[in-house]
Amino acid sequence: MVITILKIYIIFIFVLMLIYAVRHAIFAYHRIYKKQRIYYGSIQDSEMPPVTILIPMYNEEQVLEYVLDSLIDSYYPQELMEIIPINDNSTDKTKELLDEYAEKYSFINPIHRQSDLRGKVAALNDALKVARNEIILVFDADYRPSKELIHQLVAAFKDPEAGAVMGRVIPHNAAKNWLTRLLNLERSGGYQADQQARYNLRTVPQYGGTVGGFRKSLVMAEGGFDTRVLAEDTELTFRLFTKGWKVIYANSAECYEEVPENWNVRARQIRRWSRGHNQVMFKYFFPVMFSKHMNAREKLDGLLLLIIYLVPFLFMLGLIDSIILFFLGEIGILTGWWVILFLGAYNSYGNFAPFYEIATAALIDGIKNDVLLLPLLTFNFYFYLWNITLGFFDAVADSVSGRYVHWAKTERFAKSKRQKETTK
Amino acid sequence: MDINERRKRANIYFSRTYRRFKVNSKEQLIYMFALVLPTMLLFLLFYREISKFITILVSRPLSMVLPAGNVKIVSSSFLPVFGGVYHLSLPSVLPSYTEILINLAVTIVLLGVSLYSSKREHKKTPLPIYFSFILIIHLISSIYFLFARSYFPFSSTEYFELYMKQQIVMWFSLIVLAGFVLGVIGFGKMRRRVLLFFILLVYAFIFGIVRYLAFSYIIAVGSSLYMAFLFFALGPLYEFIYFVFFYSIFINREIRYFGYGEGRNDWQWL
Repeated sequence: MVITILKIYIIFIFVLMLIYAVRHAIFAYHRIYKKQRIYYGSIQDSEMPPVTILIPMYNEEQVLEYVLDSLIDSYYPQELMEIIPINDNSTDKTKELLDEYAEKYSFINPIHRQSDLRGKVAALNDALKVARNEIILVFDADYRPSKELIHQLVAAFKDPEAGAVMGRVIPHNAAKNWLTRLLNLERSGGYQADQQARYNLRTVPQYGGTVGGFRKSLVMAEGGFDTRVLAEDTELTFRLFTKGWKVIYANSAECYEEVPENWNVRARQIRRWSRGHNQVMFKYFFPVMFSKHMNAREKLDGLLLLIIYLVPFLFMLGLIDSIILFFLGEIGILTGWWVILFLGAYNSYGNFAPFYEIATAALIDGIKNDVLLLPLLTFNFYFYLWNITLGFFDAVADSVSGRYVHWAKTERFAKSKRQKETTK
Repeated sequence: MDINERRKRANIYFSRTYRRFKVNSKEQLIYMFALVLPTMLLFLLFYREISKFITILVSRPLSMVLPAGNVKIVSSSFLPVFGGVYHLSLPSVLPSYTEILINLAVTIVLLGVSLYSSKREHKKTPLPIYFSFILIIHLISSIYFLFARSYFPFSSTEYFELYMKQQIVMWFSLIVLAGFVLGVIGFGKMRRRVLLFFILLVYAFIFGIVRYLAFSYIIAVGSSLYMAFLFFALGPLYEFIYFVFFYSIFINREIRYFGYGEGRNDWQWL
């Protein structure tokens, strides 16, 4: 009986891998060969709406000048912009620097939080209460928006179905070391191929919590973001889709970010993503499945997206399962043609699936030379398996205990503008 | 495309945002029906002979290190219609307790080093985690043999049967996967895609022989203690790393061709 269950589980893992392989193949094929669904970037309207830009910050003295100066230089009319940097209990010079900006620019209105309820989600909720405009854009403090970006993102809200918009994130420190180069490849695959293909196919493009925006009234209708959920971006994506709204993906709205430059920071980041994403999975799995506002295609893609950070944990169990079966002498689970189908799926199609999607994106983006690092991503498989599994357990513990989740900031590596000037 | 159109296109920068290729269904069909499907069929018709060939090849050097008569070639049933596979049959060697204890001690030390490395701030890379995984498998194997040596379910012959079947599946999967990746969603000049297909097949064949020899040598000269480690750590994962390696070289070449070379004219807008 136990052996039968163990064997059935392995077959389940084979099937799951095959499903994801097909999904990646469809996305890659769609992105490289099919007609692309363009974004509303070309809309030129004389009456662009006023917009509030939120920038959560915790000890961001190193980077905040880049994002604020970039926004000040934006082509979007300053009289239509309200910028709210949210200083969340910073202990460095973030407060002083923000106050300097506020003195110089009337449209920059920082909030200085000293609340016990800390973190990005709580900070966003506080800022939403004072934000004057219906259209809200969010940037992380290490981002460097281009001059056209605000206009590009805001244009999406001319579509009455659009609940949120998501732009494309590109690492500006991609050439720093091997890790940043690999992350650049992953980002390219994630946005250029995956997000754009989901937008083409009208499935579930994801709002990513930065370089994007949403309608304030939709979030405030439920009292703001859920402070118990770490991934407010994924939560908003599914909140919107299950209520009949759409997320629009703007591949042309490019913004530069800083990716982690060492593995330790990356490990913490991916564990946090996994924790937040799995919290959303627990909350939205059944609402997505039974949503009256989502069609079958959206439901299928939505569910596969929801469980994406659960899959490494299931694979981990599959690995343990196969070791047990090996020592029980039961590893020859299938016979004949089934071996070809399932073992092939498990070992090659499933494993290789993300690679051709990333390679397709790298070709479109023209990422030459760095693409030679693709084989190294294989070793990341175990790194992600481990850290995502830890994140899954964090999410389970959060759900069981109902504890409040503290948001951990990703370490910054860039030198501040002042440091750079001093070095000169 | 006439010369004027070509000149005009050469001056247009097709932004990466929405550029794509036009499907060449004719090339896709030729690639699949003239190259991939016949290769699949030929492989299915001849995998029995291929398994026999490489088993004979591997048995020769083994015969030089093992006592006469210890290296045999046997066949086992596999696929209906296309038949069974040939594989090695070697005497099973159970590890001595000394060998188990030495392996256990070395594995624990290496695992400690690996786990320590994986915890070091700013020095963390995926490699210690990968090594920890494979060391844990060897640790489990060592503990198993320490307490339940006589219950180990595989003889060397059964292990090589499993190995050969997995190898045949991997080769077949490689043909299917290479066909799909290079033929269906593949791009670039046909001759380069055909060349890569054959390079992959040749390399897979050579790699398969070398690994078969390495596995059989370790198990014959060593013992069954290493079976789990070899199966999980050096199995199909490596098959697929070299695939990605060759594929990345190909893609890099294509990025240059479509980004800066003659291929710039092949991009379509929207």
